[in-house]
Amino acid sequence: MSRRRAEPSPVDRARRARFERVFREVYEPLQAYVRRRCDPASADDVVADALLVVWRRLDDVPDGLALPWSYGVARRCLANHRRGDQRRDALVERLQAEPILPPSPAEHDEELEAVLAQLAVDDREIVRLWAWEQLQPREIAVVLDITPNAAAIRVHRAKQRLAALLRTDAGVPGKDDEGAEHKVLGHREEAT
Amino acid sequence: MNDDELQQRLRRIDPAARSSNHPVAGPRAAALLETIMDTPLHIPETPSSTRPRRTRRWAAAAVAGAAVVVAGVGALALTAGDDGTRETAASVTYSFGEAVDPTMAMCLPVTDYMPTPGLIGFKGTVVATTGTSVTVEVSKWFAGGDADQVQLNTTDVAIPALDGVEFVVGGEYLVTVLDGQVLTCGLSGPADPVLESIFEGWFGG
Repeated sequence: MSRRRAEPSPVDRARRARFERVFREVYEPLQAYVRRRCDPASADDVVADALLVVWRRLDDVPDGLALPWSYGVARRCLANHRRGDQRRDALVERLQAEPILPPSPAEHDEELEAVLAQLAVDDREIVRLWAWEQLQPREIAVVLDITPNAAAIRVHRAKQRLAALLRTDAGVPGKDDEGAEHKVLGHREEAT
Repeated sequence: MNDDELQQRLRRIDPAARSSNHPVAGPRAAALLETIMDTPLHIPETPSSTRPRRTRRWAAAAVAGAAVVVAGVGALALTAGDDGTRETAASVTYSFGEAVDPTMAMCLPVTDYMPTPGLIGFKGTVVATTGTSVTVEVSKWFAGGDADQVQLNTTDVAIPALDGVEFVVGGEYLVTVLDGQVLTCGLSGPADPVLESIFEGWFGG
């Protein structure tokens, strides 16, 4: 693998300046994003991988949306990281079907954690992006590489499903929740 | 429970709340920044608006169950030369396929892939297929070998294919192998100028 060093030029300097701006913007929140979704020992490597991709694809980074775009890159790096683990360790195969589990929560809310685990994986990720990364639907659209309209719909539905499950779990079904559990389970089957 | 209450409740179980980040103003960040910016840009520059996206989604439908276990067992073999003196390389077991990750039902875009030390790459033409093997005549080794032919035994594969694209005699393919496994998910596939230029970027031409 060759390692050619680019010739210094005004273009290079401009590229470096832009990357430094993006880096300053995304470095810390990107660490939080990754730490929520993988083991602490791997987090720094995944962050570095993601930032390297950002550097290489800097021309593709949309103005004003560098952070969600970087989350999208990190999301794929996490998937790649998991695939690497799968190749390296046959024992992990038994766990391949399991979603990436985040580290322990800051506080324990067993009811919420249990309900969150019942959500379809796509819904769970959307809820996390909304609550933990505090992204707007148009930003979630960038992370997931879907249209803003689709993101808005999916955010709305994911929140509805979560709230319905919480009410059901608390034994207080809402008047609009008839069949909510069935719908959620059906969605999970489709998603998995 | 309204949205604000739901969000607040979720934030209380945010696992990142109790972990600390490396500060962007710290020495670790500065070192990482410099390391990254010193990294050569391997991928040939093409206008992003015209660069085809080589993202391959996991073939949840196309390859479905087969993709979970697709298990090609491959043997890398040197063909004997005219003088019969060339030795056959030790057999290497390859396997295709990745388990579908339900949380990440998408492959890493090929342009995002970073070559790993030990990555093998070659270009070749399929010269024979049987029910249990695919023979590829290598026209170019990017890294990791010098054999004239590579034989991919596919005894456990229902349909010998790369991401759902079947091997056909006469077809030209670009293939990567790592840790004994043919890499799929867009990292191997039918040869085309875009994928070949990416290979050249990965392997230094």
